[in-house]
Amino acid sequence: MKPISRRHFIEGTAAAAAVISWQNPLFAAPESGGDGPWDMVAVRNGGPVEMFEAGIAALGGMKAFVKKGRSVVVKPNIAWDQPPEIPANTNPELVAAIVRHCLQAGASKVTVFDHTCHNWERSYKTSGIAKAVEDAGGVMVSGNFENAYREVELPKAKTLKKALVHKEMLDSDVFINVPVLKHHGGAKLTLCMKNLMGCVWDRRFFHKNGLDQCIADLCFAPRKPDLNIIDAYRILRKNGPQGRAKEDGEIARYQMLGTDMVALDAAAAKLFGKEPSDIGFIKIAGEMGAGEADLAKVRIRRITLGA
Amino acid sequence: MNARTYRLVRFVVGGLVLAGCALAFADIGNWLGVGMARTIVWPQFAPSLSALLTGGGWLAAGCIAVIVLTLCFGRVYCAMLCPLGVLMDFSAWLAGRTGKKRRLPHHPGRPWLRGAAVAICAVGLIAGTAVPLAFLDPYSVFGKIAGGTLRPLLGTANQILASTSWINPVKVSPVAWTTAGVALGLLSMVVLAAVFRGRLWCNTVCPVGAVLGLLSKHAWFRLQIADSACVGCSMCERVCPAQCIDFRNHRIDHSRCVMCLDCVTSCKRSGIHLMAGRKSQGHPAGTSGENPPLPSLKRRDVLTGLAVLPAAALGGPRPQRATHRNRRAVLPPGAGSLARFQNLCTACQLCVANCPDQVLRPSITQHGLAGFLQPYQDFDVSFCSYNCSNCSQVCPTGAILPITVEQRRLVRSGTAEFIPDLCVVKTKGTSCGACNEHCPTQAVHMVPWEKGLTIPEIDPDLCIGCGGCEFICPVRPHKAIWVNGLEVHERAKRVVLGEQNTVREAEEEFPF
Repeated sequence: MKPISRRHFIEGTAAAAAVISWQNPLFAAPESGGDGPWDMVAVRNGGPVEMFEAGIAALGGMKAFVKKGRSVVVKPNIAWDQPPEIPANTNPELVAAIVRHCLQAGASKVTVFDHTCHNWERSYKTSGIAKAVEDAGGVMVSGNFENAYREVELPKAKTLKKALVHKEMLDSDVFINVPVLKHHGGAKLTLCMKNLMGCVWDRRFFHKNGLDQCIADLCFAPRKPDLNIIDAYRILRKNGPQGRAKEDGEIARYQMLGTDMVALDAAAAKLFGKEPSDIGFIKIAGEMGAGEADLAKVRIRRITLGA
Repeated sequence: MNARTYRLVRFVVGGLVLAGCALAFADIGNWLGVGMARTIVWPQFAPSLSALLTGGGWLAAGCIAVIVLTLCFGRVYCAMLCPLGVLMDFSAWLAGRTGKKRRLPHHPGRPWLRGAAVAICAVGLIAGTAVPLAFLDPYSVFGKIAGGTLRPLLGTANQILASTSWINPVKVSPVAWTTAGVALGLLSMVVLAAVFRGRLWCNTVCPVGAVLGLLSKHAWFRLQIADSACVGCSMCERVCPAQCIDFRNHRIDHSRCVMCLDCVTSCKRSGIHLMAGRKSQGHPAGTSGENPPLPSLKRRDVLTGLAVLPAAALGGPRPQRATHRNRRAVLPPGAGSLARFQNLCTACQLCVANCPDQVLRPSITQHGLAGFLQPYQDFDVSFCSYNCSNCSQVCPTGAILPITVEQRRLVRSGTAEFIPDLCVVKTKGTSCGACNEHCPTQAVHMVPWEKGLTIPEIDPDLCIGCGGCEFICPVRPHKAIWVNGLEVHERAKRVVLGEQNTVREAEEEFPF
């Protein structure tokens, strides 16, 4: 994918903004007309990297999140031994673009990991993420060994009171959560909150003690994501979360960026065609006050590219 | 080539074989890869012969090469290609360096015992079990030793070092105490025999030694003592680890000579040479005053060996109804059937070392006694990858027939059984779906249940028995979904799936 130039990008966003504000009365609603700060930026109709660059710019650039000399940990979904065409894992180009932006913003080190479900070496390789990250200057770390985890307490959580959490996540200066929008057989969807399960050692505890409640409890972990980016460029429509064939994937061309995991997950559920209130963990997290599940109360900046 | 050069070649090749095989069996980081591991074990006689009989491709050519080599120059295989033989020579050399040199006088040999060893292996194979061969074939014994001692040692060392974050940790499937105990027992037996009695193993119980001995008796080039040069100093007899030189009669028993050529270099008068054809002089057999071997003892050995065989019957049919208690262990994909697998697998443990998911473990009683130490899939430890057929590619005996990843995906090695009464969706009323997550074929799929929840359902036609569902099921002590091994592997249903992503209709706006 050819990176777009700054000029091209500014022109593009300006044009897009003009189109949105003039041609579409729906987006002239008060929350999208102002200057921000935004709770969420939603971008559509572009490639994964283009949409990320437009989105992060609307949030004030990566410099707003990553200060010079800080260490960054990026947590994509790399759980499965599946190629990018079967979107069981986060888009590798998007992960690489995030790594590049962090390094440009002055990050001392960008580490990427996931506690994979399939063999981690194969998953890292087949997903294309290991190569993309290493080419971009990031470092891949395994999440599949217990000695890399540390026990933390979650006093505000309901069920998941204690958990072994990956040290990389706990010790990072900046933590960026990059899930991919997928169908999920058990939790219905997998999103920001669900992606944090990849930072925890014992996932069977979740499944055994109420999956939705435990996922929602992750919002009360001592280390919360500083930035969440939902990759909905290519989404998994069925047979999730692993996917079976390319036919399970749909090119949807969306991306949502923000700090509120609950709001982002609610928006992504809508995008998937489901009501946020039907998704157990979104409903529980909203009720527990972990974030805003009612999208009417969320200030969203909406950007359409290439209009 | 003079004897010194040959000995140098022997040390170098032997060292490479020993190091290569040790690495192949204890390769916890999968550095070698399947191709390299296969290449290292290519010349191993017994597995290669087995591969030849089962149509095992180029691996099978190894035994032909060894036969040709033996017909030309005698048991060169035993001198430098057999990892156990090299290990014995190395142990004896080390003991000789540290302790006093042991003299091994000439021994008339134990042909009865050698014959019995071959017979026991053959009877075992005919009766349908490779267990006797598994504990007598030197390559398989070496594999069990390295896999049961070196591999867990390296695994532990890796764990300790990884905690200091100098090196990356690797996953090593746990090694049962029985497996390690058997390996240690074999190791001490082999080392002690080598230290005190040289190549005793090779010329008594080793079936490969016995078969190659038959050939080496008629080898083109053989070691011969020149009558004119010999002054009867007995040096050659003392250094011979095979105890096959009778210096008084200038005779060498070529069926037991392991081609180390220690005698050649020991002879101060350069009286021993590798020469074509048979020496014309020398004493006919039977005039050397040897006592004939005691047949009663040998016969007892044979009978003891045969007595082991009925034990094989213990691995026979089991009760029909499958439960957690009487589950049948899952064989590696490519094994075909339990009967075939037990007949061919010599439990060398090469597949166990080369399984990237570390789901394979040596069995204790999981396959019955007739399958002792043959690999099974332990779904408490891991599960079998949908994108891998390494075990079948690396197997040197043909017990696991080589299959591609595409073929592997259609092999059903077991069937998943679901017990709704144990499932958390039913018992606790919470969502789960972990089994469905891990199912590569969606044989385990979620169907609507009460209160908007979904519960697993199994499509047996699609199930391949990979064990992903059983591995991840959170229910304890008995899992709500588990895989029962198939005695005869089946072909899973092939579903044709779309090769294209769908593209979402361009929308005018955001749906939120």
